[in-house]
Amino acid sequence: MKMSILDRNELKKLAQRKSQVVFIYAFLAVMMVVAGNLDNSFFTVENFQNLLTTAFPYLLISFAQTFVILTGGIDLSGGAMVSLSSVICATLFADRPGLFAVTLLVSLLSGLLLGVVNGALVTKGNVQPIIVTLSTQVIIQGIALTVLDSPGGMVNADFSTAVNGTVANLPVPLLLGIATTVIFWIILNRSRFGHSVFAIGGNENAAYSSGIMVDRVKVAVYAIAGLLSALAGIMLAAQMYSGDPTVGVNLTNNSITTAVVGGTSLAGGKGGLIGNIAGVFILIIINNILNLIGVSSFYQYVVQGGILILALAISSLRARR
Amino acid sequence: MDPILEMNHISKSFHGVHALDDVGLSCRKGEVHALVGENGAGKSTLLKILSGQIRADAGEIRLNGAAVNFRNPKDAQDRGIAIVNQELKLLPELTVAENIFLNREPRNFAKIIDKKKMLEDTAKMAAEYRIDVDPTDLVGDLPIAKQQMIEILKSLSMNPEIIILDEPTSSLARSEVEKLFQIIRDLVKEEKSILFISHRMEELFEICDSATILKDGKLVRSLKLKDTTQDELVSLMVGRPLVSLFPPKMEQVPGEKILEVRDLSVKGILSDISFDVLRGQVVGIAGLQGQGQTELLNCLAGILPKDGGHVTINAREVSAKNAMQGIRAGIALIPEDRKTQGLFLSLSVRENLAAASLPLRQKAGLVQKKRESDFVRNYIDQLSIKAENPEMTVGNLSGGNQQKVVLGKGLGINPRVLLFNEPTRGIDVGTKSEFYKLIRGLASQGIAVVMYSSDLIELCGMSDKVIVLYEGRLSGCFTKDELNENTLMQAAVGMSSAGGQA
Repeated sequence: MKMSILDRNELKKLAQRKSQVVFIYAFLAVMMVVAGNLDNSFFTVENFQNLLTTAFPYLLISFAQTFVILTGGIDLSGGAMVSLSSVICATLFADRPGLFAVTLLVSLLSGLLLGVVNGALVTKGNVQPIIVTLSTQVIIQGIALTVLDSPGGMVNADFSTAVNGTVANLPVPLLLGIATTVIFWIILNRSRFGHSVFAIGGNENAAYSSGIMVDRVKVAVYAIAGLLSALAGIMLAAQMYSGDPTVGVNLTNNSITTAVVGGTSLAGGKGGLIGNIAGVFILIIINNILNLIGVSSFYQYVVQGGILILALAISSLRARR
Repeated sequence: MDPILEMNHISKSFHGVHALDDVGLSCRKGEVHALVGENGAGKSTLLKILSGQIRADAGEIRLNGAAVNFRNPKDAQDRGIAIVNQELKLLPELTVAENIFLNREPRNFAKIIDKKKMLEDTAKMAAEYRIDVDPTDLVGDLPIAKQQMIEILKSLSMNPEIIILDEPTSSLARSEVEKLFQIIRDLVKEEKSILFISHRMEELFEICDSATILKDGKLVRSLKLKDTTQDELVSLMVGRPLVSLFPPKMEQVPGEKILEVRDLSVKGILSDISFDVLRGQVVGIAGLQGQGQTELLNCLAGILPKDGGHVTINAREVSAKNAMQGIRAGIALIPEDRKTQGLFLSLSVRENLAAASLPLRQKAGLVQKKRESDFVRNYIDQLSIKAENPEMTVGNLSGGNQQKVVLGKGLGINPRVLLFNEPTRGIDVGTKSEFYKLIRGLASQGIAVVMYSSDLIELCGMSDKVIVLYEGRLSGCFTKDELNENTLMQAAVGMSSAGGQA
């Protein structure tokens, strides 16, 4: 029997199953056309570099949220972790450029450890993810404000320049974005760990019966989410050359919106990462458009909320099917 | 020959209630061993202990004479024990191949899943066991019977020495059961051991060599099936000789028409269904799986809106467009799957019993507690529901008692029409006979009873009249004198055209 990795039959099935992802990319194309019509400079290299730079941290935290949601949980503390890692990055050893590697490591570890704490409370403490992360979110935000009570600090200039620069004429955020997507796509879709994530979200009991160490996988998922959030915080700090203890405030919402818009079901067990890319760009381009036509940034929140409701409605309609 | 598996002195309690008390069993290589007992006898608990899903409070498990200790399902799997649970444990959003190889996916040197090999292995296995399935299909898109076969494939893919099948046949049609039995015979040839649970006596005697009988969490005895009879086995299970499973049918001339169905149609599912239920009658519905039986019952209950035709109760036209209107019209449905359609598993017996008829016991929009507790006590007594108290969580009751709660919930609305969809699925023989008496009693009180069952013996034993559905149409109607399994089966496969307007 001939069976290539993607034969025709399977491709057809894939398109059917991932209809929301196909739809969301079509929607993105429409948004880009609209944006191009409103602004002549939309389809320029500079603007795309801008978009990519803005998009990368959003994408990281969107992936973080997707992993958690796929297990049937939710992480409300991601945004606060972004803020914390951003202020650590801009303050720790700020006067010792030689120790910047340590600074980065501590930032990343803060996310990783807090993720493990979330995971431990969810599994060993047997508390619902929404309660756990709602609580840790407040604590983490508090710590971030203690470290730095207003935007400021300094991020290593060499690092910032490198992250915002280009390699072989390609913007670094694009390269990093592609690398992150490939790595996490493989982890989610081509590793036992990834399959376990889907299985746990689909039916935890069944996953356990299949010999999956449910608690271990869940802790790992929250740890990955923490790590990605911390990385997002570092990227934002590098973009601004400084730290901001409230930079992540809206990012939790964004991460849920982009994950759900990207086709991940809030019930868990169903979804993926590829749609998130379109989700992130749609969100950014909508804000871009609203800016261009002079809508106040306050209304932008209203529009964002509207998109979230729309995404949730689509998600629940799909779940009912 | 020494047994490959021994379980000795196993005990297990849940919330202080003994589920298992000093139970044991043993099984040799190449033996098909039945575990029988009424619901709640502890069969599933014993097998869950053997498969590492729960841990025993006391006792030991020996494999090939060596004591083993399973902390989780993986431990048991690693020692060659595979289980197919009663409730399916497949993931609907994953493909057939992903389900079968979950947590055991073939991987390449970089620990990345080798999808191609996974699909090929699945296809190979499916072919080996003659199961027609596409490895890339989502499990959720497949019919239940096929899902059951995939669950069995999954357990076999672990290449186990001992295979536990907990009621594998309850959702299978006869032809599929035959296929399963062929697989079991092949496995026996390979010297595998099989533990088998089924409530269908014929199946046990057809495929099993020996049996261990449990009752109320205690061991009754183990015996060779060739040394016993179905009747003896049943009486050992229930602890008393079983006189007759079915109560006598209606003797007197049927009374006035209670339910009249005329030309009932649902586009693409049901066409022109007509039949009557007279006072005192139990009317059965027969048919192969998926011929519109469930839809017919749902349509009568108002859950599935009709596209054409008329339904009258006591000569008054009823037009229920949703479940609420159905209940108001006096129609109660006892659905097919009590766990997902009939009960609030995490709520108490009281809350479940009262759920469908809350408006009947309220004043100024508030539930009157006294009337509710009287109501609940009444049904617990009347249906002899075995619960420690009304506040006990329904999910902790045995299957038979859960089904009684579903029935009580339906009776609470004082129905004039009672619809049963597979009333005794997954219920032990003793409780079944209790149920039959209850159903007969309700019919003689003047409630019109319509019931669908895939068990033809049950239909013949219970019904005063049976209508047969084939592809959404009536393909036969038989009165009690014409009833036998053969004629029903012929009509069910669309062979005869007896009857018509019933």
